[in-house]
Amino acid sequence: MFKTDDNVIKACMFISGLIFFVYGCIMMFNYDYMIDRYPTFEDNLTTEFFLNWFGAVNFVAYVGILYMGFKGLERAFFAYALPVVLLQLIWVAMSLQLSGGENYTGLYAWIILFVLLAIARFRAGYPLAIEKAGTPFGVTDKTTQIMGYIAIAAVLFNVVSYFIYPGGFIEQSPLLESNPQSEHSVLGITMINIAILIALVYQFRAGLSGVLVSMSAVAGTMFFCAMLVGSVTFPDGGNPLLAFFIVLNFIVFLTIFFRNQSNF
Amino acid sequence: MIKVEDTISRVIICFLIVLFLFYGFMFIDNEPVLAFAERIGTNPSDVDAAHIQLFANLGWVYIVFAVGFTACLLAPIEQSTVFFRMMLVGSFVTSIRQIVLFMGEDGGANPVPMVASILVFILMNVLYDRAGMRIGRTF
Repeated sequence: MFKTDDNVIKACMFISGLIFFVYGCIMMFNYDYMIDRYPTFEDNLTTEFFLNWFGAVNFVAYVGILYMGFKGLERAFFAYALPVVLLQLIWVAMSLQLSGGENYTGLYAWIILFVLLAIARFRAGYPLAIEKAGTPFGVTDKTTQIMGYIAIAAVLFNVVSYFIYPGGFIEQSPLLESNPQSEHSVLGITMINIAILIALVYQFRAGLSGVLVSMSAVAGTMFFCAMLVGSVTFPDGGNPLLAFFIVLNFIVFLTIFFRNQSNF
Repeated sequence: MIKVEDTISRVIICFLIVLFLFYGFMFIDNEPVLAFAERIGTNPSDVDAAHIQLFANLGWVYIVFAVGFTACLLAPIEQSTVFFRMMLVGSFVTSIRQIVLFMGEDGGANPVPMVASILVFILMNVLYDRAGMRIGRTF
């Protein structure tokens, strides 16, 4: 498993995968459980929407660990996972400040997760310096490179647009209610976008990574299917800009995946 | 990474993954289930917790099928024979059932589930044929 003989790494990755999987499943498929445990959570569509989103992100991280279980550890995974967990840790701490500290389970789980991933990454012996690939994204295929640039531009747009106008996402989504929780959730999504941006820039410099490209393909497909379900469930309640980005991500990530999958 | 070499087979499998995930995600959640029930001509107020539970069970079966197709994509095509055979028979039975339901009394509110099941059956046939799995050709 993970193509390593180091049992500490195996244990760290296994427990990390378990935490991602449990949180992913609960947030995506049993959000009532989460709502019950956080008194300030309102049981409405807005809370469900954001819980589903965060659950999907956790589930995709689990897919990455599952992939590496078969194919072996990849340094690129940690270039995404460590920033995303650290940023989510900060976000959870900020949530606790807003709510007055109603439930610390998430904070402890994320601290444990970060420590486990950090131990695995440093025991694997990867250097801190990032070796530069010969070409952008480490490939000579122009289509892949263009798709990579589009992905970076799209994520950058989302991150910058949040800092220019934080309330824009909620305003453009007719079904979402504007309240302190939902606005804070948009910050959480922006933090995830920052981690995705770091992963894309890492791949731009060091070359495409099998685990990150596969995770992107899984994420792109999941969000695309969820968008289709949303569009038939609430035909008049969608956010056109969000739909555009989900379709764009689906096309971009799947193009990159299918053009490069033979190298992984 | 992908072991299926035929491009058309790859496209069909990927399409089926998206289709099954779409229906799977739709059936596992309450709001989409109510919207689906309304579209096929059922009064949403007639859908109770037990119906939603049954829909969710069906949704999970669909998601498992999507995972099965993903596994097929990542394995040599001959290893998927039994799965394709099961899906071929399953989609045949489902499409016939959907046609009969659609033709029956009060069954014609929305043809999309019938069209989707027929589409899956046709695609499974193409997939099965292109993979050279038909009985009589392989053994």
